[in-house]
Amino acid sequence: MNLFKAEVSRLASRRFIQIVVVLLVLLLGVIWAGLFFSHQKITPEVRQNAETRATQEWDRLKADCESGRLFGGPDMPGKPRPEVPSGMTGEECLQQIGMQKPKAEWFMPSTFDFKDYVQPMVIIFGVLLCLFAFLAGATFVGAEWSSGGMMNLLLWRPRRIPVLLTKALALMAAVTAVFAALGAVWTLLLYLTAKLRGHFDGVTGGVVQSAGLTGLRALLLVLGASLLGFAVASLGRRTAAALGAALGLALIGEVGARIVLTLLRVTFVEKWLLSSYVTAWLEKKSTFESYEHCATSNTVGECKPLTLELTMNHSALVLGVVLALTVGGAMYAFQKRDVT
Amino acid sequence: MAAVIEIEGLRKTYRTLRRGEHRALDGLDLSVEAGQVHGFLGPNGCGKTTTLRTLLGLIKADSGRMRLLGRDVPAALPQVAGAIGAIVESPQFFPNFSARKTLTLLATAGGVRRSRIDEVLDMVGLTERAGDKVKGYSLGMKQRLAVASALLKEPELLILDEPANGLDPAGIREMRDLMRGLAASGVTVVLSSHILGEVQQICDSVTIVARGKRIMSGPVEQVLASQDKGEFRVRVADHRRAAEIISAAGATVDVQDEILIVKELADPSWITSTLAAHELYVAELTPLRPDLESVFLTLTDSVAAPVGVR
Repeated sequence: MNLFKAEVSRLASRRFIQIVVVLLVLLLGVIWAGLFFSHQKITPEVRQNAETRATQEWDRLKADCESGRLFGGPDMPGKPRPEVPSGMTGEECLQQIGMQKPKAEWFMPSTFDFKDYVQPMVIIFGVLLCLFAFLAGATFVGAEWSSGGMMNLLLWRPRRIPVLLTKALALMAAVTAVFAALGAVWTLLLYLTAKLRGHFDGVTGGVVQSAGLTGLRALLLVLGASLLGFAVASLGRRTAAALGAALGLALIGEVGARIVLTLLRVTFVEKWLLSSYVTAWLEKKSTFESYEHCATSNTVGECKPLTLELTMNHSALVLGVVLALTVGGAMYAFQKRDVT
Repeated sequence: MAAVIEIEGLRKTYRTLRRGEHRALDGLDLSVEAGQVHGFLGPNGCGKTTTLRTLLGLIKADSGRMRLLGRDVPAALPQVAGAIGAIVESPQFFPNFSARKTLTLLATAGGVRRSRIDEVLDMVGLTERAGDKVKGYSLGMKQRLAVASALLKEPELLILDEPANGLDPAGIREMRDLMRGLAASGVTVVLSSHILGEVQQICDSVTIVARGKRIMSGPVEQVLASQDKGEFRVRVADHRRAAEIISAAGATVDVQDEILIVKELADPSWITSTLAAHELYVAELTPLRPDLESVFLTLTDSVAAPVGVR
């Protein structure tokens, strides 16, 4: 318990962690500000104004249609003029050419629909927290190695595996605390945005429960990211090792693999990319379509795509195995390697 | 007196792809008795740091037996670690933490009472700067902080690797006084150092190692006496005649700039009586005792590492 308290305190005192948290808060703030100021509440006045503008537009269209201005003239030279029988009213004219009556919604500002926005906003929050957690995990153990702090600690606490596990637990506790605190603020901001710049129409218990479960999955992913950064930096004994591994995974594991597998005409390249499983985990499932077989198909008419559905269960398995192997490897190396 | 450190036949070979094999420890033996200040000496790359790290569980030995405070290590290291304070090689700390923060984290992790932090800061003379960030510290101040961290646990055994590194003469003296005080209070101090004059002044016993093996150990006086060749520096008016007389009397003598160096002699009164018998009177008679540096160089040169080996 003493070690756990010391490690939480050490983590919270690290300047790099503090800077990353501030940057994270700023980034979330910018996203929220953009969201807040780009939406407006639909008041009766706004609705009335939009209805007026829709009616005005309809009247203008009717007049233009009746006079023939819709079909040519100086603005549209050369456009063939459809036959509009004489004596038609403007409304009949527009019906003749199949034009719809403008709706008031078309003239309303964008409004924040809590039901539609809450899910993607939770996912965006989770992805940003994942980046923070990965960095926090990597620097927590990487800086300990490069500063000599790990050696110092092992002189006090020679049991290596309990030391590393306690560090990992302290990291996860701190990351959970940051997630919970920022998550509460993020939820409050989304609520305020809906209250002041939107509405809660259609928000049922099911919607809230679904958002909560997405948040829970995001938390698990964030904890996984922190452990992954921690384990890779522990294996490489440097923060840079984790950052290098992340960059390598992004370049080789994602971009490179996508190019190579596409060239090899592999059906469903996404099946081999870790990012697909991350997406499926956050969104409960991801469906991919492939038209690759249509190029060689003799089918006449519409060629139906092949589909691949990755569920969160697939993702839990794949991401869990990757995490278990990395953390297990880090533990094994930590126990066996000399501290020089 | 009970031994607090006992090492027998310790072996460690490093294997790397780039450098191949390097035998760092080749059957090293070491014994340190309780209450002593013990100097652990050897040229660079002789295995001193590897020995200390292996003893402290940071490196796994290939073979050999180690006991710390009467317990087999590394198996019993968790039980004895609380009684051992150690700094190994150059101390490094988080630059943005203060000395107090650094020590507080260690004290929390080790379950040490908070008041001990002020005590050790005072012991190493860092109280005034305890709140400053470590990045503003000199090497000597970092060294003091490292010693403070090693003292936090109120150790029975203190292992210090090059504690005087980076210290100015006043700092070295303070460190020497600190170690003497600790030894007087019953703490056993093991000190690895290159400053042999310091070691000779403060150590009760020494172990000298070269190429991963112990080549000499024992009380400082005994180690010095073992290399004492019975040499005396003699100044006399007619040095040529004196040299002939001493040589004819059966002793070995060298003449260096009108000074006689008489060798392999147990009793210096023989020189005065022999020369006086020929009416030659000694103006100066000084025994040439070896110091630790000359002993160290003599012993380690005899087993010097071949060029290219670390």
